[in-house]
Amino acid sequence: MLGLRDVVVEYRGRPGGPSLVALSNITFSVGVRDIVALMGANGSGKTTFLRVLAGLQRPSSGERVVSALGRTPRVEFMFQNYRATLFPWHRVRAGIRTALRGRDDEVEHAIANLEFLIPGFRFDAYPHELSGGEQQAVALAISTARCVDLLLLDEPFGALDVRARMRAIALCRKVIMQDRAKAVVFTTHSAEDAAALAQRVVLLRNHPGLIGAEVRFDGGATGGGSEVLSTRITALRARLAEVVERA
Amino acid sequence: MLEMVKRVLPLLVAAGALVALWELLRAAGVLAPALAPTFGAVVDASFDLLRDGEFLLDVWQTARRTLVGLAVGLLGGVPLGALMGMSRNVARGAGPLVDFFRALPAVALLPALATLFGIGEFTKTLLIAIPSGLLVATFSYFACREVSPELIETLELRGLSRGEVVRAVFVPAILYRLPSGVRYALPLALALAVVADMFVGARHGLGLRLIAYQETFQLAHLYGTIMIAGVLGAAMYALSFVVIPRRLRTQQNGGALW
Repeated sequence: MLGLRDVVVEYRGRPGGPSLVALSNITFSVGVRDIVALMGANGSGKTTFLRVLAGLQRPSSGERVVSALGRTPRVEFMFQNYRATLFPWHRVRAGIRTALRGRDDEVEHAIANLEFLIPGFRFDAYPHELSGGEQQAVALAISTARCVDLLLLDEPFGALDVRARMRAIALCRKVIMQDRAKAVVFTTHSAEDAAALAQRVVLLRNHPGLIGAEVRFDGGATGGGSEVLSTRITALRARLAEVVERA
Repeated sequence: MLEMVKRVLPLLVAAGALVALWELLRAAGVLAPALAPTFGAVVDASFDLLRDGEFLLDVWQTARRTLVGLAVGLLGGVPLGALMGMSRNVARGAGPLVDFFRALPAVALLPALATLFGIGEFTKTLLIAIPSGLLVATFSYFACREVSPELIETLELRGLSRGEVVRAVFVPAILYRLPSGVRYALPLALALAVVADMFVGARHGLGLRLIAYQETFQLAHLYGTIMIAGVLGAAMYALSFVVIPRRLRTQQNGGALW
């Protein structure tokens, strides 16, 4: 459905100095009902990867591929700096309305998502009155409320507590099942989150950022079965360690 | 009640210390007693002035000039700062000019403005509007620069046009910061209004009073006028908290300095 072909992202350094290759020869695709996790060490280019996939950043070479849609894909991006995407002058409920352009269906979903993530949420609070986890929950609730082709989430669970995190994973799964998003790609440092939600995990290496390995889980995203989950986590950690070693 | 006392007591202590210092300096001869009236004499003179209808007219004219000049400054400064904040090219072009004129002492504009436009109300308004407008432009500019690129990118991905982004993000961002800008510009506008009263052919105004009392050595009235000018400034500052809509005041800009 959407992907990258031979993508290179290079940042020019100081005059006379070396350039920084953030991504090198990335070929990747995501299809309908895919949930893909991107993992890698800090600086391996995960955010750049998502930005190029979203069309927010042009690669230095290579291309972003859009096929079979016949139109511009609808993409939603939840930034790692989720705080920066909230409206400081709006209370949460008004902020949700503004963020979703007053689309009633999506606004209702966002409110329901937020109530699901954090029961009893304070909708009349301003963002600066919320904790970091609550702010992240707001951003996630809004992003998962939209009807899009591709949902991109950059470190969507980092600030959430254990209960909210489990609910967030369930919410992302629901987004696919309810067809609110055709595919989800998210970055994470947590093998547990990747194993719990994704069917496929792409492991990036550093310097330059390239795809070091790909792990596929049989049977798709798992909703439970702690033994299956445990096996996945162990396998994922081992592969990740290999990739990091080779970098 | 206790809360009120806690808030007011430090102010009373500070003000009392200032008065005590004044009297001490007089008593020590550091301030010549003939040139520095007692605090009591200043207070008496102040009450005399406040009972004088002509004086109250002067207060009103200075206040009016301050507010009109500030309003004109806002009308020019807010959009200028916004354009600079939203466009790098505009910032590159206008920014150095704004910095130049902001660094220029406002009173240095006076001879040029008087030559070009005469010594009427228009010149007085410009003298107040230009520097206070440039100050407000700076707040407006930084309000726009503070808008996170991630928020803009998020909204553009959601299909908002540039105009919709300006309405949804930049306008509220400017309004969010504007109260602070207005409160910083108010004392400057008042100071320039007093200068305009002094030098730009005014028939009424506090500046005119100051010159007159200085020339005739009515020193208690001189210091009384200064004190009343200060109270006028403080009153305008306090009034801004009433006038500026509550919903524009948040934890970040709603508090007074104290």
